[in-house]
Amino acid sequence: MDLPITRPSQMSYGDEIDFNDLLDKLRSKRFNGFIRVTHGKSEGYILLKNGMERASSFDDYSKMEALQKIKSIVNDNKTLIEVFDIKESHMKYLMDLNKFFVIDSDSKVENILQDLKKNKTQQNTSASSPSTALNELKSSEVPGSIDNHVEIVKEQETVNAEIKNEIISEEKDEVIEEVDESLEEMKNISEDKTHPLDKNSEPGTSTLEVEEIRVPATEGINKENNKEVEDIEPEYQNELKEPDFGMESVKRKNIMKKYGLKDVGEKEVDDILETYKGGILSDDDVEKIELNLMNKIKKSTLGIPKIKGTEVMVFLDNDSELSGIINIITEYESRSLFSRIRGESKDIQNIRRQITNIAQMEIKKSFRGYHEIIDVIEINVEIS
Amino acid sequence: MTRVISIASGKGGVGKTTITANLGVALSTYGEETIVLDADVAMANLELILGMEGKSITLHDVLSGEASIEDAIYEGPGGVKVVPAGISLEGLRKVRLDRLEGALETIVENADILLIDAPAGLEKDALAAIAAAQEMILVTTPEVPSISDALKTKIVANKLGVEIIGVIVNREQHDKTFLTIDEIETILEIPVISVIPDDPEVSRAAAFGEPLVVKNPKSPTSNAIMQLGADLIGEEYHPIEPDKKGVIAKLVEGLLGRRG
Repeated sequence: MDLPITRPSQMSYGDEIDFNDLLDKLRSKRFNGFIRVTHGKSEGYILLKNGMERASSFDDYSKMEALQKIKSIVNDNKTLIEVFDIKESHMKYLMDLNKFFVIDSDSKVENILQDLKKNKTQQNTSASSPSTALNELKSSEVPGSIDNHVEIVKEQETVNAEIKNEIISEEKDEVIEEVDESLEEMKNISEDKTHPLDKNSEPGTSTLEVEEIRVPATEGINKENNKEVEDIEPEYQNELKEPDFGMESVKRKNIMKKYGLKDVGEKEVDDILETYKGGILSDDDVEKIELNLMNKIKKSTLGIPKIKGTEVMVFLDNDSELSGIINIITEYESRSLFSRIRGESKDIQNIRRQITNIAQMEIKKSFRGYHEIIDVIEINVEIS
Repeated sequence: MTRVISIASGKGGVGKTTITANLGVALSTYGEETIVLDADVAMANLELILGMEGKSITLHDVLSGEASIEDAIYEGPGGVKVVPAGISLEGLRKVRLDRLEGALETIVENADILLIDAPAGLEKDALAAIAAAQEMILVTTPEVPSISDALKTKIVANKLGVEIIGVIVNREQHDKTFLTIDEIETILEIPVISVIPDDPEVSRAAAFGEPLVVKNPKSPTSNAIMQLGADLIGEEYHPIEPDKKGVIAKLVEGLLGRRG
């Protein structure tokens, strides 16, 4: 199926989670998105709209066959199960895009998924026969047997009361179908899982009675499971912060793929902009250059005969364009009292020129290929 | 306040300069004080399209520090002001792009709209032209390489904080091998503000050194550019319908030498 693969909101291996629980949770959340199931080289998808399975694919299989294939591998420890969120408003587009995989409304998807649920229930309870389940459900319809009903709900580890009621009504439908055809109408109502119980508006039916009894009975479980719900909440809150990879992004992705186009990476853009700026110098870089220049100029200046000592100060300004000032203070040993009285000799001028040249040469060496920098760095030489 | 709009493309040869020149003339005809600046200092040809080649002082001289920007502004067709880049390779060596910003500050004082014809690519000169503007119009053809480069340019412009007005799809042909307008909008994630059809009149006008909106205002391209200009400034434009003379009437006119 063509689906937008983004960061999954949930990810686990088949042996780490119960696939039925996952489906139940997603159903209770009226989840919009899809599940990706990866097993070796095989890959399957189940598209869920309002928590309901609407389309499915598994390798070359589609629809029901795909669901069956997925069902057969979901408990394997080598199966990776990932959940991806999609905005509700984008579901129609995805359904259209994957219409080949859309499960027909009259298909037996419910049976397959309920098979999965039944298997789970059978594993957890000793009562594995349909008649036992029927007994349980039947007894749950009697006000006096609420405890039995609660036990079933607990076994199913549902998140909240809504999903518990939903699952129970589904199970009940299945059993009723086998046992009592007269309850066919009730089954049809409860098959609509969007609002499994809300839609049952006929007063006096057994379903309503069950609902009336179940609501108080599951309150305790709700509290018990509130912690679980709270654990899930932050996960979903994080998902909300994710960027919107909706219909437009899927469409864009497909077009980009069609024409072999790729988005420009952040790094590439930064590289382009770095070229524009002529290389970005951080404050740390500037400090290093200052220190380096200072040492080099000092070392070269001390190589001049009769220079007793020298101090170099480099101040670079990296605001808009690199510029700066270099102050060099040098002690020249031949400066006698007589020379000082006489004023600046030619020797001093030569020394000053020599030091300036040295400084310029060191700057050029430090900024190879950008000799124009000489024009923007002021060099002051003071000889004492 | 002066609007500074750069016309950029990423890929070269998509008709950016032609659109800039004609859009400048179009805006001038609407009464907007418009300056068109050719920032393509290496491959300048705006002046060729507008028939203004051979000007003594150009942007080259300004960026070389040898002339002030005021001296490089010339009046072009339809009253549009033009700053030619100059076609001197000799002057190119002295060009300093950081002077562009200073030059722009001076010329925007006397203009309503400044259009900058940015060089192709994303080299330093192109980026300087894009960054100097507040707004940008992308030009692309409906071909994959052109869209790819436009996408890159758009992302870089976004990073530079330039507002992108939209994309002009130039040389549109009703050919299935090219991208559709919808696909271009989806890929670039910006609106297509004008679709200019593939029009041989454009090359003909360039050969004459005359902007198409002046030489052939009835052509589909002229109408599209005039409409774009009107949209940019919130004016209304009523397309000029081409003459619907019969073939025989045209032939007779031709034979009588009255074609014009």
